[in-house]
Amino acid sequence: MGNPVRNTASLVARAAVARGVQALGWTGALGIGLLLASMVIAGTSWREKNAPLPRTEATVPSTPVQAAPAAATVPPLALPGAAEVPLLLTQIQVAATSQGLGWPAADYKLSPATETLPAALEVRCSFKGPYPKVRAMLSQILSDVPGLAIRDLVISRASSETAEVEAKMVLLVFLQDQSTSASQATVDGRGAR
Amino acid sequence: MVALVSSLWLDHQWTAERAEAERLLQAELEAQRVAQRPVPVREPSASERRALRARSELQRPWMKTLSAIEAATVDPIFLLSASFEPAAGTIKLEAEAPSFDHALAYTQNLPEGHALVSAALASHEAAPDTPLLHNGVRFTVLARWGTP
Repeated sequence: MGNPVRNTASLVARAAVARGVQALGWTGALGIGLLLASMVIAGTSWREKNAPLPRTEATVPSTPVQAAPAAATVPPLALPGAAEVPLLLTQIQVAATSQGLGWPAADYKLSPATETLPAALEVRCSFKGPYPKVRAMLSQILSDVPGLAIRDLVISRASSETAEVEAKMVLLVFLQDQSTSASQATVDGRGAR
Repeated sequence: MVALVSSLWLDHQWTAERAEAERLLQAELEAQRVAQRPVPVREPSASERRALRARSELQRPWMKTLSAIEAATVDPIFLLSASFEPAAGTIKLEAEAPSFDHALAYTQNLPEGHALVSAALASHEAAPDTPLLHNGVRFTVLARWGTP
């Protein structure tokens, strides 16, 4: 014999189903079943649609990684070519003579490019004259001669009563890194006197 | 029946939408990863190193430096010589002054401009008498200019 309470509940449920089927008919019950199934499907889809998207946060650091700076691109220098050496020397000579310093003597040397410096024309020269004229000459060659740098400069005078100074300088004119040998013959040896 | 078909159609649409959203999110995350990846540092080439060094030489502030020395060297200080060594970044000045105090003051005032970063008295001695100077001192100052 079964549990009398369970038997009673079972009987009540079966009676209710029987009454429902009698009231709705089998097609009505099927319709309700389909409606319930539709609601379940739609509800499940809606929940999945609105669920937060899975972020693969393990692979994305919360704080941005500081990117290492790329080596700054070195803009190219506009340097004269070796073929322009005669013109460069003329510019230096004109700067000196225009200040009344003359162009008495100079030594020239072409240096090939090294690991740290481009090919360069080295000019060793000295002048005597009033300091303002030496200064003006320096200013002129620094602004007019492309690629010119002063490597060494000594300005001196014999005593404080002397207005005339002697300026000894080594100038470097940096050249493009190609075919410096082509103009070697042009500037070989002592310069114009 | 219509409700069931509708719910199935909605399910299909929403699944497609979600897949598209997930794809977009992954693409965005991948783009972030690429953007945050450290860029490898490229060593400058030999020609770039030469260009950098040459540029440094070319940009040395010669005229500013001369102006700074000229501005500081006023009567009764008389400059006898100035030796510039750009490679070492040093300037050696020899001058005469009426007294040791004048020499010290000149040394202190020299780096007041921006061209020279420091100046120090290197030596001094009695200067020979001249029409401009009696019982004066001859002194040497070592100054440094900054890198351009």
